[in-house]
Amino acid sequence: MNTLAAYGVPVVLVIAALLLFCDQRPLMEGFFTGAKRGFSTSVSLLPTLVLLLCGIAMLRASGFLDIVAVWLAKPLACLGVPGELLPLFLIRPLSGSGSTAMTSELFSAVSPDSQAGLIASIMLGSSDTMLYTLSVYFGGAGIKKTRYALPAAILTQIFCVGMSCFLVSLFWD
Amino acid sequence: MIGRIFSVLVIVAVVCGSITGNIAAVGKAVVTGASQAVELTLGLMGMMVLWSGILGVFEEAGGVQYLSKWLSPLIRILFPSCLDRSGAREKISANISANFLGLGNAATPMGIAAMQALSQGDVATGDTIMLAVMNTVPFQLLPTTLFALRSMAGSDQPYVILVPVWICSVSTLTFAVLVNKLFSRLIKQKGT
Repeated sequence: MNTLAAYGVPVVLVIAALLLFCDQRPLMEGFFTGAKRGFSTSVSLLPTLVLLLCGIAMLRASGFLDIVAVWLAKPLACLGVPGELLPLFLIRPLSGSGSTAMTSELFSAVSPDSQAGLIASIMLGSSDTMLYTLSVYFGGAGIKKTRYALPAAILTQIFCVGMSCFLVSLFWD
Repeated sequence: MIGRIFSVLVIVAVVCGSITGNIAAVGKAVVTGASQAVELTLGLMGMMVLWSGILGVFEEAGGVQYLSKWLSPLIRILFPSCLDRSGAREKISANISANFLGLGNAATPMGIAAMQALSQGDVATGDTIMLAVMNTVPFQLLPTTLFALRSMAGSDQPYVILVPVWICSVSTLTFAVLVNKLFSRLIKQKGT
């Protein structure tokens, strides 16, 4: 399974390389446009990251996270979920840059290749900021009564977390 | 949202720090947090530029149009009540394709346009809820920020999560579709 996983990125890169080889000029334009977009995305993340990483660093220094982790370790362990992941699970549906900050904080505490790191990665890669998306989409269309949208979205997020845990145990254990 | 999250973090940290006697450490943490953020941004930049550029190549090669064509039979199944009224179907395909290529800035306006084409008044219909919920778990070909975060944290295999992420995404999207279909059967809209 690990070898299969290792082929994903090289295959995508080879496709891009072949496209660039066959038809050079306009596609290089595409690369530059995209690259600039990537650059401005990372720059625009900075102010929020400063704010949130300060907050998270303060919270960690206060000892609060350790206290909560001790409380929640047992119930989460029963479900096979590492306790360190709880703050990330909580912030994921609320804030995109918040979850970037929380993930980098998590990766400095545990290795990105540990069980918790892998679960966090998969969860992060397959979900988006739920609350923001729902409000932008319904707000944009002028819809006020969203009926079962929120419960359906929350169930989907929970499924995504469960699936991430399951896939890590399937691929790596 | 960010503002509120920050307030909660700070207030909890200060209150908890005073109780546990860690208040000096809490003050010090502000400095480390701020410089951590700058290091993180600089560290992310190289990977973000590379992968966003690769996605730019796919976009320029007509990826969005190609994917849209390929997706349209699927969309006919997912949004059955959406007749080709005001081009909603093309907008949904464009939205999903743009998400696939990680073009968040393009996906959102197309998604909102599709929502407007699908909506009837200010009460959400089954189709609009389906589209919005699907967009909370979009399928992304290359999770660029995630690659950058992992390689920055010194992962031996920053890309090893790619195939599991695809599997997780596809099954989560399938789950989202099933939940929506189930809810729209169970919870009938008033007056219909």
